[in-house]
Amino acid sequence: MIELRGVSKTVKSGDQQLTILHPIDLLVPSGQRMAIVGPSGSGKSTLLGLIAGLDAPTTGSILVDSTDITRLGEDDLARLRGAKIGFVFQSFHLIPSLTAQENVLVPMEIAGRRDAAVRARALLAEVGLADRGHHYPSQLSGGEQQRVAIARALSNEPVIVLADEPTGNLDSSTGHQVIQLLLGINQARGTTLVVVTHDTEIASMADARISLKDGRVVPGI
Amino acid sequence: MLGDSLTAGLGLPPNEAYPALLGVRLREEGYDWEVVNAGVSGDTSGDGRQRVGWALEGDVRILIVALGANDGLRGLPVGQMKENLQIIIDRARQRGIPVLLAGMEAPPNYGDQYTKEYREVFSDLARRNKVEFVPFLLEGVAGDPRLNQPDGLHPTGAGAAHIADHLWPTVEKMLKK
Amino acid sequence: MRFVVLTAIRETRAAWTRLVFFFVCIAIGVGAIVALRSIIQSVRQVLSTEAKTLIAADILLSTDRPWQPGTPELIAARVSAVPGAQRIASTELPTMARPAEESAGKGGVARVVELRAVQPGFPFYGQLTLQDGRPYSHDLLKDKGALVRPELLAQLGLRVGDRVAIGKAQFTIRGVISNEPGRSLSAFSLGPRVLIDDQELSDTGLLTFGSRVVRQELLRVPESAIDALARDLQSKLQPQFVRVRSYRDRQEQIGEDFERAENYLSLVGLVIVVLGGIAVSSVTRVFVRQKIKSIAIMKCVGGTSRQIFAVYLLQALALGVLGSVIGVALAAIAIAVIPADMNQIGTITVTYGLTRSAVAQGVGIGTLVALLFAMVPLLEVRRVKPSLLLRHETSGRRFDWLQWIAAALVGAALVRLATWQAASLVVGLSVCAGFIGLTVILYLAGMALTWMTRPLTRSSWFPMRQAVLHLRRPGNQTSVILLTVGLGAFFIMGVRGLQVGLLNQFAMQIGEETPDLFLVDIQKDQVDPLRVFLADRLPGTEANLLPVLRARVTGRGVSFEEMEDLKGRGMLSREYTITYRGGLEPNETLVAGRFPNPGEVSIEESIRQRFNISIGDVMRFDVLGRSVNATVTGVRHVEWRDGRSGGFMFVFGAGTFESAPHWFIAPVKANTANAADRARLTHDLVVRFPNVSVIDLREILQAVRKVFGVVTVAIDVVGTLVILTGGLILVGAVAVTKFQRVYEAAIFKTLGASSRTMAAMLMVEYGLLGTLAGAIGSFGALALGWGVSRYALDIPWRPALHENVISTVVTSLLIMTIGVVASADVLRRKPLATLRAE
Repeated sequence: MIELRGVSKTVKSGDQQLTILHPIDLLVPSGQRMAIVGPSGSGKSTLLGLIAGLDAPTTGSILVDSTDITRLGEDDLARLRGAKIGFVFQSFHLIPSLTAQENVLVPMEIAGRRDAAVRARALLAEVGLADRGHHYPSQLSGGEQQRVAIARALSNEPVIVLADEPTGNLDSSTGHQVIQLLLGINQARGTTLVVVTHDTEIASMADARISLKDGRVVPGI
Repeated sequence: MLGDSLTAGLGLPPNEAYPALLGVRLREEGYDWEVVNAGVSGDTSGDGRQRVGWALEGDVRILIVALGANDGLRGLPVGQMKENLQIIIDRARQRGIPVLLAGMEAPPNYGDQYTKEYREVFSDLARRNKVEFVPFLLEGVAGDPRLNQPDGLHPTGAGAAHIADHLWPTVEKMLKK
Repeated sequence: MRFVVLTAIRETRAAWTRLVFFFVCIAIGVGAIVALRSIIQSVRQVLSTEAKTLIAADILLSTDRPWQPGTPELIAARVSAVPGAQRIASTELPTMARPAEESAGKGGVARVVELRAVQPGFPFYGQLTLQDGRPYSHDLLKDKGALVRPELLAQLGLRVGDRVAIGKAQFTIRGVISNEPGRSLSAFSLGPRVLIDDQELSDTGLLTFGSRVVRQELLRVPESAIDALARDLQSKLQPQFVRVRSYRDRQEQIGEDFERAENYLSLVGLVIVVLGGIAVSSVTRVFVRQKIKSIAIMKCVGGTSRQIFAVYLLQALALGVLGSVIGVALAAIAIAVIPADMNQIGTITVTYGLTRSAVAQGVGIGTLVALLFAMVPLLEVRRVKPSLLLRHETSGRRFDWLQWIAAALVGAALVRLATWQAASLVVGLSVCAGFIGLTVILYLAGMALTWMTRPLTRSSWFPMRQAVLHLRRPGNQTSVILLTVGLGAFFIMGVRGLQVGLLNQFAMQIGEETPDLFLVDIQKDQVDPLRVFLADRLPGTEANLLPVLRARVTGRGVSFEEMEDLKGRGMLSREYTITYRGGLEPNETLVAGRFPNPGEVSIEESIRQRFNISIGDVMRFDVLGRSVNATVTGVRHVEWRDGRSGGFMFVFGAGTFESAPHWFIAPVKANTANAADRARLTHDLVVRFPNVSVIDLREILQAVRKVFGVVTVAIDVVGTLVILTGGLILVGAVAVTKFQRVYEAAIFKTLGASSRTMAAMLMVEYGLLGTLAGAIGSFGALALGWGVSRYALDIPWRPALHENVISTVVTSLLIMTIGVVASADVLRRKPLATLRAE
């Protein structure tokens, strides 16, 4: 479960205060799929980043599994992410110096899981890349990279998966596969899924949608 | 005063060398004389012979010759030393300058024969030339650690005073003539 | 932990090629240290042996007075308190030797000899060699035996087997000494050496009241106890006029130069460490920048700053160790290929080999430096925000106290390391201070450069405009390159300058041209005959006969304000040896004024400085009992080390003392090393010119020359190493910053810039950086050279400005070339590939 109370984000741009996100309240129940839509620069990614604790809100509090993450320090946040949140980026963000399998291994090794290697193979098989574990990101196509990223996001069995434009850098058919994968996982594991997207296909499959424009929630599509 | 480092006052301030002390004594005793210190460290009798002419230019009334210590320290042949000293005495005589010859002792490490021959040079010269003679310049000073600098060769200020006192009676005798 | 180790391994594997530079820097640094240390230690061992040979013992006690009651017992007690220590007594005195039988040799002729009586066990170090090749043993001296120098045989007309009378005793000549260790370095010889047994000395009857005798105790002491024992004896015996010298004694000229060389070598070792450290630091900085995204990702998936920091620190550690090990291997190779002719220096053989302590030190320092220098840039890991994965943002440059503390820590560690390596806190501190000072200057210079080039951003020439913009953009490499290149140039030039200074000095001191025979007390009428004699006996040598007089300064100024004043200035009123001539000698330079005319005088620089005498002053001298007034017309600098023309504080104009009684000295280089030949020469000289004393310095010079030969090799080797390391680091500094421009290059190309334009742009950018860094570095080296020469090594310092200008030009050309060459693949690469990779 994710709960946002009066969360806003203001950044300093030169001499001016620029409000990226106006105060927002939001509740995402466990297991729900939610889509956040809106044009470029509307504050979608910022919102997602705040939920993942990648960034700190200017006001308000964010509760993830009833933990107020705005009270956590940088390292505690990292631990919380490692344990409970999987994140999928628009531009994949795999570690270029590691193979696909090693990328999947990283969160598990950080968490100190013993079954990391076995699980990594299983996860890669689940995303259909069982035979590509030893390839480096640069040797994989965009879709494959994103699937590795999804496997990585799932590695520590997170209760929440956050995806930032997961299909933004992919062609439509590959994008479709990735979406199916994400939705399938949500269904199979009952994880909460929050997707920031332009893609109407994903948006239409979500349980709930919010639309952002200029940092404010606007009536939906 | 023609001499070597003992006369030059090696290791001493210039006014503590024994010629300077003699000069002070002269003034104290009412003699309006000046002492010219022609002591040069390291000089042997041969060096003295070379420069006696130079040193005697000017109004020199008495010549004190205190040379030979370096000849003795270096074990130079005594015959040579005798010849050199004789020439110095001759030069002074040619100008009518009375001479005081101060004798020396050679260190015993050169053996009895050398030290004996060495000693005899001075007494011989004094006798032959009938000049005023002080047999041993460092009488009572040599070998006394209290009167010598750490090198054991050169007198301290106190040692120099000793030497001046030792020479004084003979000098005074010459002044009175 | 598993994560840290595994990731460190994987990261290293992936970044292998980029990290090669990291451990190559460490490897070269460590290689240099290990090789250097090993060489120093090998050389030091040889040098100590040589130095010990020079006094034939570890510690030498000597006094020219009889031992005071209790003193021999005190020495015996102190020595026996040290386990393994031994002592032997030796007595030296000048005395007369004559043939025992009137019939043998030149009857009745007595010669001054330097008699030395020794106990069994002499010498502790070195070898007493006999001319016929028999080994020396004390048995040769038993029962009134004597060993003598060949000169004595020549002088007395004796042969081995003849008897010689010394004092009241007679000794049989059993052999001829060709080389004697422990022949006193400082005292000039009065006559040839005669060696007898200590027990039989009393039989000569020469040891009586007033005898001029030097009594010595030679001590052999385990290395670790030498200093303590020497100090202890010194404090106990000094009041009794006993001189205590250990073979390491600074009082010996040789000891001083030995120490100087050692300090220098340690200093250079340190410089190499610092250079390696700079390289590591810049590589790490760049590495972290390249890794920012990966770090953000790891943070995003749960990695804490501490874990990630640990990953990279572990990596640095591993690379440090690996680099160190490779460095040791390099050192082993370097030492193995030292040419064989370097092993043989004079008569001593240096066996170079890796020493265990050098290896341990090298690996330790290499690892430590890798960690220390990597740490500060690695701390930036903490500042990487995972949010940058969502937005392209550069982490703000905020004041990071932890990084500053770490930097301070590294600085402290460096000082400690420097102090250890240079074996001197002052040197360690000053090198580090210089290092930090220069860093600040270079940093400021970087800011000044970006500020000063501002007008150029409006230049109409595209490459110039872009190059200048590059210097100013956020995250630019200006300060990194300036720092690395500047410090690199600084150290290379500094070391080169010092090396040249040191070697010059050595060359001067030990050059083959150095006179080894000094003829003194030459009389005026002997000048021409002597010249003829020398021309005949030593063809090709131009004898330089210098007139000398003794003079005392008795006053200064027209009014002669005076003795009181002069006394206050201490030494001025002592006696000086003066000369007169028509012009400067080769070892002199005119500092001010002009060379004196007859009756005028020129003074040496140090006199001017110390006693505040200026040109135009009138000085009064007491020359051989006569007062002479002379106007000071000029100031000279005398190169004291160059003994060919002597050195004089006061030089008068030509002919000034022509009429005064004076004599001449002649430094001569005898063109024969054979002792017997030299003895014959000396003998003939003395026969022909009986009053001329001949002082033979050959053996002393020979010993000094050997020692310097070894040191010179060591200095050459390390000088080369420094330049090699420095060059590599310059290359590396430029090469590692290349990635920053890959992306821009691609964009410029896309926008239509030709490779030629890009190359021009790079050349301007790197040229500017190189020139500035080179200039600051090499002129900083001038300051370093001055300071170190003056305060640490105590050698004269001469700036070589042209070398600094050349080095600045070379640095800027080098940086320019490396910059363009290192970026060549960037220029060649198709822009799309680059853009896609990003």
